[in-house]
Amino acid sequence: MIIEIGYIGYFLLLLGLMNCMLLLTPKFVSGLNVSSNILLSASKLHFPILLISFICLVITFVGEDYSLDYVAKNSNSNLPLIYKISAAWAGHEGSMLLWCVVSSFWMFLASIFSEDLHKSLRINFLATMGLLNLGFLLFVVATSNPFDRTMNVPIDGSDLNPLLQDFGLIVHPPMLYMGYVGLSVVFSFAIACCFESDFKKEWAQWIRPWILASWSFLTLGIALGSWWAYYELGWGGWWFWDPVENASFMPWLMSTALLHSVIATGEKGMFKSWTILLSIFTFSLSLLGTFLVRSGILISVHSFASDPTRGIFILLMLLALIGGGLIIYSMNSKKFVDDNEVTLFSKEGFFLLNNILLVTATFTILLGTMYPLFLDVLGLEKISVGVPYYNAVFIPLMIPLMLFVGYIPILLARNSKNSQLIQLVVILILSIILSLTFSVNSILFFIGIFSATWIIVNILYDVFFSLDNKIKLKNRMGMYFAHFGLAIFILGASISENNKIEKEFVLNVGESKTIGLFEYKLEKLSELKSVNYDAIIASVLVSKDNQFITEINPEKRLYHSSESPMTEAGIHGRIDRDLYVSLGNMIDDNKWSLRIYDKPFIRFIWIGTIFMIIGSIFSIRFKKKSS
Amino acid sequence: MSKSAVFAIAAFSFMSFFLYQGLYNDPKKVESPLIGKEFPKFKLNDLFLNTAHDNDSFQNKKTIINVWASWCLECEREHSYLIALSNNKNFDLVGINYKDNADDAKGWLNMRGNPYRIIIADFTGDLSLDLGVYGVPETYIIDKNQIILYKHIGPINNKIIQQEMMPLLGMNE
Amino acid sequence: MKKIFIVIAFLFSSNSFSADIDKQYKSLIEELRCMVCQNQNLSESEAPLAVDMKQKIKEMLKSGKNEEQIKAFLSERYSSYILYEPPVNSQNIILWFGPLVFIVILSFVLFRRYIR
Repeated sequence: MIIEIGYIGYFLLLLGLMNCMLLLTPKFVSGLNVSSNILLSASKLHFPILLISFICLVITFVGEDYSLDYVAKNSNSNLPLIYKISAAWAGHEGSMLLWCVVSSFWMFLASIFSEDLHKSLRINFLATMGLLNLGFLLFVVATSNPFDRTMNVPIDGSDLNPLLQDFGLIVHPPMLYMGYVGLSVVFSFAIACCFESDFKKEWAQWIRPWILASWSFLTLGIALGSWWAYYELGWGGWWFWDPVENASFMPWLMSTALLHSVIATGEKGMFKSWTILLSIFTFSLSLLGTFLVRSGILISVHSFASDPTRGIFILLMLLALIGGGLIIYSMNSKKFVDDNEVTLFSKEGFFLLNNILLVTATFTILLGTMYPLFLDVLGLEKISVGVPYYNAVFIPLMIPLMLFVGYIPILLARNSKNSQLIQLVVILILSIILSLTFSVNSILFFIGIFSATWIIVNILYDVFFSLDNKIKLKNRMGMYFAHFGLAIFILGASISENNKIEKEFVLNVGESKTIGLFEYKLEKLSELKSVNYDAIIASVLVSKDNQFITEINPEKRLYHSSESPMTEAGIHGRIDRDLYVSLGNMIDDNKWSLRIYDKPFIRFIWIGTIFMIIGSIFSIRFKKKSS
Repeated sequence: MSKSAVFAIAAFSFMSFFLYQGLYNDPKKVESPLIGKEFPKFKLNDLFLNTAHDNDSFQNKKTIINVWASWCLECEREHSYLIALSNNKNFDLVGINYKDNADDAKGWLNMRGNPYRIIIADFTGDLSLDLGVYGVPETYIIDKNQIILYKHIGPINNKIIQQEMMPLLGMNE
Repeated sequence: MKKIFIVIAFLFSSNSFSADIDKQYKSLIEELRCMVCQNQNLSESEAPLAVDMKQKIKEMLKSGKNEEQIKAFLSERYSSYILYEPPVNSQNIILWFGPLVFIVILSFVLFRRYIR
């Protein structure tokens, strides 16, 4: 019975492939004149086909069908059910199928919600999406088929990578894919617009919610990944500038630029060709990121098994889509004439500055990520590009950006130059006073704290003086929340980095040590045998002035399927402070090295991203009605 | 076609070329900066005898230096090749025993045979750090002036010996 | 199973360590790459080689070597690959100054096109 499920799944993949080709026939065989019904129904049908295929894959995992190579390599009969399910997208093949499902889902939505677009635009838009879906699915079927059978069926599977046996990593990939692939909607729309005679304001308004939605998912996916790294990897960091992180951060920065420029295009018909170019590049960077991760071309903490044929396939797709996209763009860009001109000291002028800084930041990360590869291919000395480089080039770009972000409410207040000046001075003084209440001991820290308070005070000031203007508040709600979230994020990053305490030392059972405000006592060590791992759990009692506060339980786990032990950090999290304990090495039976981190306000980093996402949702919800 | 678009396409094709080339490179392989430099100065004990070795312990000819340890699983795989190499008297073969313990190392060699003329006991890893060792086993070739000609990380095999090492050792036929 | 967790703990043998050296040590091991890991710095890594290197760095700091000397010492042996901050030299010139050139060109192009 279970054997058939695998075949059904595979059959549905092939059916999906044919459906995609069917979808494209009206476009290529007979142009636009013939009825586009086939295209419309095929673009909706694609999602259920792939979804069921994916469900089949999940069933083969739950039913332990180890005659499928992919199942045998990524699962095990001892796994808890939840990880058996999530193992379906833990490896390369399954996660690429998930990518296809997500892509078909976006096409499904695009097909349903595009009824108000005029016919040629809609058809070109959906046909481009269909082409992308065809490409992705072809990739899965040709190089990464999760339904491949293996000749020698093992008795049991070889287990899921222990790092992935975690809730964070169950939800992280789907969210990230929703973001990456959501940008393909934007890409396809931009390409479709290139075939029209103009890029109308209404179209920019139409595409903005899609950008915001993808951006929200991307933000959520990145935040989840960073949260996972923080509690799972055991050294208390939340961002490492690893190539994989960079791969997700580049499209994030670009889509942030895009969701600003598209406002100007939608409201005033400015930056038309620039917005289209940004759309093309944003999705291209998503694909490039996928290429970098999947091909094994760079050394990163994520290691997917590398296989040059897969790399070549994605590279060809990159060439076709980006190269094709750029050619289509360049042949048509001349016809997009802006409706209005831009002055520097206006909202749109600031969007331009925002775009310049964000695109340069993206370029910097691209350069840092690719440079070791360039040198390697040229046979020059290999180098590593890490945190010191990004601190040196990325942060200087962000400082002016933060100052601009804070200044926006003053800029938007259309009162006299004089009152603007007074407002500026008042807020400036207020922010400086507020930021000096922190014990500031470095310039960079002061800049961080100041830009955060500068943004917050500006928002609060603006809200306070427009309490009677409900429409304005409603219109700006998204911006307020997103920018406020950004400020909270900066606060968290700055304070936790500047005021952190990190200690590494050895404790005997029964010994204690005072670090910062707290005393840590290694109370006892106990052993635990779980289904698929053995663990040593430490009990660390935390107290302050002899008052017991909490018990923290860091673990070392040894999964049966893996040779190296895994660190599970113990975290006592409060809104204003995380006490973070992880086990280092065992010295002898009752003696361990411990890493203890005291990180004030580190939670603000993720709280900030939640606010950003709320802001984005507000913008999707409200912006449309006002315009 | 606008100029900036042409530029973008050119930049993109340029990048694709590197991406394509990169697919066939091993990102983890790092060239040693010590090639062409002199073998580092050292003074360490012999594994078996109670004598000390220093740079004068090398013979005045080309020498293969192999860094190994009894706890190193990969060393097992290359051992038969080292035994074979030790029969060739045109060059010398010296071992560096890396972060090991004397009894384990001796026992390991007793079971498998000793291909080395002398073995330098580097139990603290200081000499190996000077050599930039990071993945045992590692194999070096130095010439008679003790200039480092070659470094290989990981176990050696027939292909590496024939194609990379033999030409440097002056064994071309 | 406990045996597996035991690693030679040179790292913790020395406790006489001034606050100043401790600070230098911490920042230094965050800027150096663990040669045997996927993509981790020495501070994060507990691989045996990383533990040795950390010990060596501690000793060098105690014997009065400064940060630059230690970085030079390590990169002479392990190549610049060990430094997370790439040296500013001719082969890395585009890496370090590319962003500056890029922002100038981008600003010029966009300002000329859009700003009145």
